[in-house]
Amino acid sequence: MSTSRRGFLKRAMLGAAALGVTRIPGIGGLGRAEAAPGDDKPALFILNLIGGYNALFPSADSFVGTGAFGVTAANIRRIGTSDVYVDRATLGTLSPTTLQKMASIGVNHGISAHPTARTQLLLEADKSRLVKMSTALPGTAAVRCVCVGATMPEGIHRAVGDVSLQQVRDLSTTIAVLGGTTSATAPERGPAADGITAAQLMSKSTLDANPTSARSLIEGYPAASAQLKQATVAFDYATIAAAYGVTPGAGGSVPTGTNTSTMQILGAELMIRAGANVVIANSRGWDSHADNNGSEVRTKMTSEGTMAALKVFTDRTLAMADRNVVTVIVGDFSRSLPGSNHQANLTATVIGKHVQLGTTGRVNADVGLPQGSPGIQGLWAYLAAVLGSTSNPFGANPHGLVLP
Amino acid sequence: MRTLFIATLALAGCTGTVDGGGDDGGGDDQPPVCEPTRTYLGFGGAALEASRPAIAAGSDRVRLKPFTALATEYAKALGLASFDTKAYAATFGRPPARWFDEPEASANTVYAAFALAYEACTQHTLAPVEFGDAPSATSAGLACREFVRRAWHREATDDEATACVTYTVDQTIPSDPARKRWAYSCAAVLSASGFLAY
Repeated sequence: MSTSRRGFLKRAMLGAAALGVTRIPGIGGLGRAEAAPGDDKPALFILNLIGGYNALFPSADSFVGTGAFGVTAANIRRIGTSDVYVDRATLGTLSPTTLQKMASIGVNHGISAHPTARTQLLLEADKSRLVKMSTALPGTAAVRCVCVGATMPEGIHRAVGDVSLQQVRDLSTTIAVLGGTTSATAPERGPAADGITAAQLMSKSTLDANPTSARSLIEGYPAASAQLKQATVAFDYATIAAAYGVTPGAGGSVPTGTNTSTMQILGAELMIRAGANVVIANSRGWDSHADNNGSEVRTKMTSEGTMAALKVFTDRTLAMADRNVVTVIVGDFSRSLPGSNHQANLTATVIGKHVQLGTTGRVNADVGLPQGSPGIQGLWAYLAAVLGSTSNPFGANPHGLVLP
Repeated sequence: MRTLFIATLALAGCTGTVDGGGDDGGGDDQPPVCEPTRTYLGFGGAALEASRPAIAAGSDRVRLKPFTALATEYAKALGLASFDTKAYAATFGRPPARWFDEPEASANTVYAAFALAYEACTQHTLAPVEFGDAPSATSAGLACREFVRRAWHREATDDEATACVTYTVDQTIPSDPARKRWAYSCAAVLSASGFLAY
């Protein structure tokens, strides 16, 4: 529970409003204060399944009647007494406490083409939703908006102010930059930071003349220099890695490449601990045409380590006392029937401290969402709400499902 | 030739001027914009040329070197017999065999580039006599221009040389050994776009 002055006052004001009082003579009478969205340092982790996110996972009961995607009454799990039903062998294996903090959120985007869905999910016209969310959330780390892994999101995600989307392919460099390791041949942080700034100055005419093609350098120089100037971040990588089942290899060193889902999700935790407030991991291979019994995506979710790593990640991040880490699983769209093709809507899974167990994304037997379901902006507005953003960067939350 | 080109633009209904600039900028003229003589409608009914960007001639042509190319250039630029870049290969990434990904920089690759350059420059500055003395404005001016010549294959502009000299003299640590300070100076040059990009 936070003891910040802002949070204290916020709770007091909310309590006062609930009691219908306009002055606060004594906080004691308002009862026990609860942590509210915005009290803890927020961070968003997006697991983006490129190709699609089958509604059999977050809206499993929708298919019991027809048996579509191999769904039966026996292979789904109802969360408590709620109307949230998930696939038992995958999402259903998350810890009970995690499942109590889960919502299925409907996204009626009307898009059934991959490139359009991917870009519109993460870009608002030419503005990056990732960067926008990152700028809207509090944070002072040099690198706040991160893509972990080899696959960057589609489209151009331009920086806003000093916040840019930075790619992390190998965690060892991040650990070194943040001061976690030193080697005899590595440059020292101070001279390296100034040296990178000097390199940027020496590149000025080229960077000015190539604002688009040199964008990643334009954004990379200041981010690299700022990372080296920020205070070192202490973390025990071997211990974090061990929690995810990542152990030293034959040479005795712990793997740091982000070439698997497990390593991407582990990397997300590392970056959040280092101060990032938006982290995305893109996972390829979810365009599961003809997966009529759902076995392809169920198997993929477990065999590549995604579910196991997600369980560790959600257990550990929900247990962080001073953090409000929200996890969202999205994809291009749900898979349609028959044939597991492209459905023009999506049901996302959202997990977080302030997520109220429930669903606005229950699809019908034909994988359709109810008329009037909100679109992509509504999903982002919901994420902002459970992250505790007070500025409504994506507008009002149309979904509800936010715990105080 | 230039006159002829501008005249051609005028005939085609163009505005703006072509300054003949290269990738390194220069010129405040508006980019030339030519009215298309024909328009083409796509299947969606939208004109295919509608989203054609209007950018200055010669701009947005710079491309980052793929790591496979960059990795070999540290040794070439600095005259080293060999130089091992494996430690940071994963940071830059490598596309699967027979695939090409346009390289993109990040905070991590910029740091990795500097770290690699520092290591290579440490070897480069280890023996030569001229790196035995601490940098001064004069010696740094000469050395910076030489580093640029080696790494960028062109002469440094005055602004570029000044940025290098300022860093070398004022921002490396005076109490460090001279050769270490020169290594940092060299690393800054090898971390600039002149070396990292085409």
